[in-house]
Amino acid sequence: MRVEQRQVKDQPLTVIIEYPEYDRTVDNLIRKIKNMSISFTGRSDGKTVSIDISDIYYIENVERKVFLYSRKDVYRYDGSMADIEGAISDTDLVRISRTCFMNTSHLREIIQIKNSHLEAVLDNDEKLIVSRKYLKDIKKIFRRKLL
Amino acid sequence: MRRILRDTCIFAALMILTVFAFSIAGVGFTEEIKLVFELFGLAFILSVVNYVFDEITSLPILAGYLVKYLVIVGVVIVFGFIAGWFYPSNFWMAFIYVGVVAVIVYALDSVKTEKDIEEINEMLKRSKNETVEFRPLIKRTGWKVLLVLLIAMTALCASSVAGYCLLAGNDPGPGIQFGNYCLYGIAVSSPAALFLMITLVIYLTVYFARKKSLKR
Repeated sequence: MRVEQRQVKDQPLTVIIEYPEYDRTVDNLIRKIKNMSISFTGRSDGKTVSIDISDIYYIENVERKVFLYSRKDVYRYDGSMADIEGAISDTDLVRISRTCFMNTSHLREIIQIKNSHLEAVLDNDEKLIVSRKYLKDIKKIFRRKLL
Repeated sequence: MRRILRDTCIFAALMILTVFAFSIAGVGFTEEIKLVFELFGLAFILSVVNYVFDEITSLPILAGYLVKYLVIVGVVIVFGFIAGWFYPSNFWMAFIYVGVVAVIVYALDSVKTEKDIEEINEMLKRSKNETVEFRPLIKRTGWKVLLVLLIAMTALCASSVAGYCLLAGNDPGPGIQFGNYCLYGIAVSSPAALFLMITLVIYLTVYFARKKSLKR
């Protein structure tokens, strides 16, 4: 893959992808670039921070407050779960329970634990409870990734 | 295959509703027609209860099914009393009817969940270009669930057969009434046992076929 860059003044940041054939690599690349432009604004220790969607591990609603979790940090999000749901279509984030969205690009595996609960294990060893009825949505994301 | 079965059921339900709706005009609202519409009404109520239950709870599979079983039995008993299906002497049969359906649905759900998890983990590894490992039978739970439920249904069926032979075989009097209960037991447990056995055979066939193809 050849990477070229050039400065064009007075123009917005533009990415042009040239490919001989549209394949999985191109699709993943386009999705990653698109995901980079999506970010959420969160608050932590009184500071307001913009967090790229790719840095978010999961989003959880705890007692009607929405929190964004990155690898190590937690941010309070002022919007609702419905706002997030509207913004994450065609990204790697997927609903895994009534109160939680997970970023599938940080998923390590899904396991069935002894009391029949399903758990998603993330790259940072965080474990999330997955509701069975959302398994088909997770599958859809991976099918799209493996196109 | 699943889609064909689902479409067949929907199509059959629509045909039954249409035919019986026309029959009302011809022969009036007979007991049979009333029963069909009552069954459709019960199915609708149960679907709503099931949907609401899934939306408001996030219990583990087994606990979810146990609670759902009790809730649905309650709905069926109340509906059955209103519709005149049950009497104080036989309402307990709702526990058996609903129980057999719950056993089958639980078995299918367990197998499907296991399959979904395996599929997701496989796709996850392939997306990271990692080697996909084939899980041995000993580590899988679907066939164990199917086997336990198959044994339970076979035992229920066998005890119903034994009960019928003991009660109805020798006694033409009151034993016949209890013998009928045994016949109900055979009628619900034997198709369930057969269904579970077919599902188990399909599960093992698919497992060994996949294992063989991966070895190649």
